[in-house]
Amino acid sequence: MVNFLVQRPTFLRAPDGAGGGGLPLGEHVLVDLETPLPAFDRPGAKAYAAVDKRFADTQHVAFVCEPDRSVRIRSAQRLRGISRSGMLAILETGVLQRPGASDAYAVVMEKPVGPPPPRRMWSGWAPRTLVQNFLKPAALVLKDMSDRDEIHGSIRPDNVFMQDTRGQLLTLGPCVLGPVGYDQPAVFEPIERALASPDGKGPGGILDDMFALGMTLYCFATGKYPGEGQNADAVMARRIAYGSIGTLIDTSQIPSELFDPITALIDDDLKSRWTLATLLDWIAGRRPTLPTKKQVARRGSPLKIGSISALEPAELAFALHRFQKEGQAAVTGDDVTNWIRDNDVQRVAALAGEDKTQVNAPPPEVALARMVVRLDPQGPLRYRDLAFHPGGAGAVAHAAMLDPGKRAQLEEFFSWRLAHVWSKAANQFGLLDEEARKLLEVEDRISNKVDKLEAALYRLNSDAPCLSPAVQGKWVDQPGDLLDFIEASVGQGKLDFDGHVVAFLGARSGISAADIGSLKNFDGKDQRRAAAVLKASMRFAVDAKGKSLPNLTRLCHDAAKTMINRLKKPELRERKLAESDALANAGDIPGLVDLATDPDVFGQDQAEFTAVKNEFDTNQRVLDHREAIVEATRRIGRDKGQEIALAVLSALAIGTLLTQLYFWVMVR
Amino acid sequence: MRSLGFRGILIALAILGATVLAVAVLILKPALLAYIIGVFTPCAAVYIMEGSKRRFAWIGSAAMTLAAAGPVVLSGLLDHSRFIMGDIWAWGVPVAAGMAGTAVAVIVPAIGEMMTTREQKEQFAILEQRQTALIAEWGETIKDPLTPPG
Repeated sequence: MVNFLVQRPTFLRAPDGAGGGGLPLGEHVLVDLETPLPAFDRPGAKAYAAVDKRFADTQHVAFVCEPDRSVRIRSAQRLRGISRSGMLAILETGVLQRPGASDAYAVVMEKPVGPPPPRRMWSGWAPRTLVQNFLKPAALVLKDMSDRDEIHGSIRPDNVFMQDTRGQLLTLGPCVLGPVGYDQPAVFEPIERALASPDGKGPGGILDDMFALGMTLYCFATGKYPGEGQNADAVMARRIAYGSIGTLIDTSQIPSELFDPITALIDDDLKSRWTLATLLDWIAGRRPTLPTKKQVARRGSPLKIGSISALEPAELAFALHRFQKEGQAAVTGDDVTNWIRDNDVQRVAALAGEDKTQVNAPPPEVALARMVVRLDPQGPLRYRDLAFHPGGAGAVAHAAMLDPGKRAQLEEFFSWRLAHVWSKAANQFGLLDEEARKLLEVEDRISNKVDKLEAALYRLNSDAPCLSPAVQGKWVDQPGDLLDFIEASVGQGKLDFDGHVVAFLGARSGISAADIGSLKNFDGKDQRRAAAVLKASMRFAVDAKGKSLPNLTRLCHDAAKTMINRLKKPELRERKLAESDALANAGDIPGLVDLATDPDVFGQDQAEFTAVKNEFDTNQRVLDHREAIVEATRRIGRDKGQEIALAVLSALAIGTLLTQLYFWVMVR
Repeated sequence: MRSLGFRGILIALAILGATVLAVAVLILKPALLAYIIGVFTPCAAVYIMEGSKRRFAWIGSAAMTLAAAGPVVLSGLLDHSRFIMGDIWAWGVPVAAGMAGTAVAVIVPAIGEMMTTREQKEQFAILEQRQTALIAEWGETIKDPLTPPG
């Protein structure tokens, strides 16, 4: 078993300009790694020239992503086919096999005319131009994306490209090159998402895109960058205390024509923030209801943690996590307890009371994390350097696999069952959605030692490629991609799969660690292991999609023979063994599995055998006691004979008597 | 029970008949006692030979002897001119009847015993053939103790 902590995967990055021109991607696209397009580089993805062989005169840009960050593979596939002026169209997606380097994931998109508009161009557009050439096309694209159950997640000024030489037409840039919101600065995210680490923001929703769109519109309309020049912590604390509008934007600078959409889109209240439909209404000329201005009610006594004086639980949670040394002292001391009591935060006090029943006090960082999630369950789950929403746990797990320090923190997070602590607080706010439940399930399995941490990655992150060193730089995000490796391992008898392979197969193929263990330990006799081997083989066969797997077929054949040998009827058994031989020769794993697990055949055989066995046992009992039965039968026969004899004797006696009397009378 | 009842009736009738004859002989012609003892001597021999537990052949013997000797004794009592002790038929017929009764009482049960035993053995043979066929069809595992499936 390869220990991931000892042997980290090595991703062989493509050397600059390496790989030769024209690596194929899909059927029609060639990616030219010798022609980088640095003007279009994105965080985490380098841009290269690409061409569609069918239309050689059209230029495209290929964004090449390394496997060390989660690419939104499924989103990319779903977003293919959207062709609107509001966003660069995705032409092709897929794994790029680079000679001399590890595989990468490439997203080939329409090449923009120009780079993102430079800062000097901001505020240079008329409001009507911004609405017609940016806001409306972007909103229509978001509508298309929403129809496909997707969001953009990367709307910000430096991800908007110019689509004409004069910079009057604007279009949204790529959005699938990392987890949703990964590259978004905090000011372009709603408060709850801004509190999370870049990889831990979760999948988000269309209202998050609305916020980012409003903030980007503010930048383009005013030429100002929100929170520019201010301390990030102070900005965050003020946003929590006074709201995003009051903290981040200067409303006096907003052109009157754009005042309504900007302020309505960056409203912190999800209930009153403009939806996409409302925005489209406004663009169409209607005047939707504006969010009412809310008075910020500041109450209670402040608690100063680091540079932040917290008045509200969410502020205090932010301060405790941001200034952890001071925060730990405040939590383990009486400061936070007193603050909760003074501010009458009954909800937190009740939950914190649970800790008092525990005999062993948790480490200060755990106590801090528990307090933070209880104070602000709507914010991210925060522990040491981690800060993520349940939906972002998969991306965080991906990062943790590549960073031993982060991995240790995530392992501690699960071992202290902090997600469960959070869930108790979050339940009061109705925050336990499907993603939260998945996280809790994963935490259960890991904290109970059923799964290793790798399971968190593959169960919570459906886009993550397999990070096992065994894949040797191949981009493996489908179970079928592992089949060559599995097939070779079976052939060599080396079935000690590492934690990544086991977890990957468990999450993607539904093959449990126990089933994989059975592959290794199958001795050709144990029926339970044979059943597990067949189950695993069937999964592999489904993933193989008709591809020949001779070694796995052989293993499956052995398992099938073990199962068929359970059949009691020799003639049936021999026939089925012959059929299994034929199926094995044909490489038909599903056929072998069906043959060896047919419930009708095995059920009927067992039922017939049980009936026959009962008959045999009954017969044998009779034969075993045959002497006694013969003796008993002999007595019965004799009794019957005596009965008959008595009848005969009676008749003879009467006859004799009458004859004698007759002769006597006749003589006289 | 039915055979015992039937046997009981026969025995009762025999005892009754023998008693009536014995009483009549004692009163009317005691000399005939020698005849009665004489014709019943084979019955006693059968009784002794049959053993103490099995009491069937002598019943046949006694019943037939009684049936044949009864009218002879009666004629001896009523016909003073008849000299029974010297009458070869008076001796021959009861003794022959007694032997016939013995034969029937011995042979018929033996035939019944033989037939049922043979029938039973035939059934055993059929069972053995069936067992052999089951082993041939299902293999030696059918001899193993039955285990739950799985």
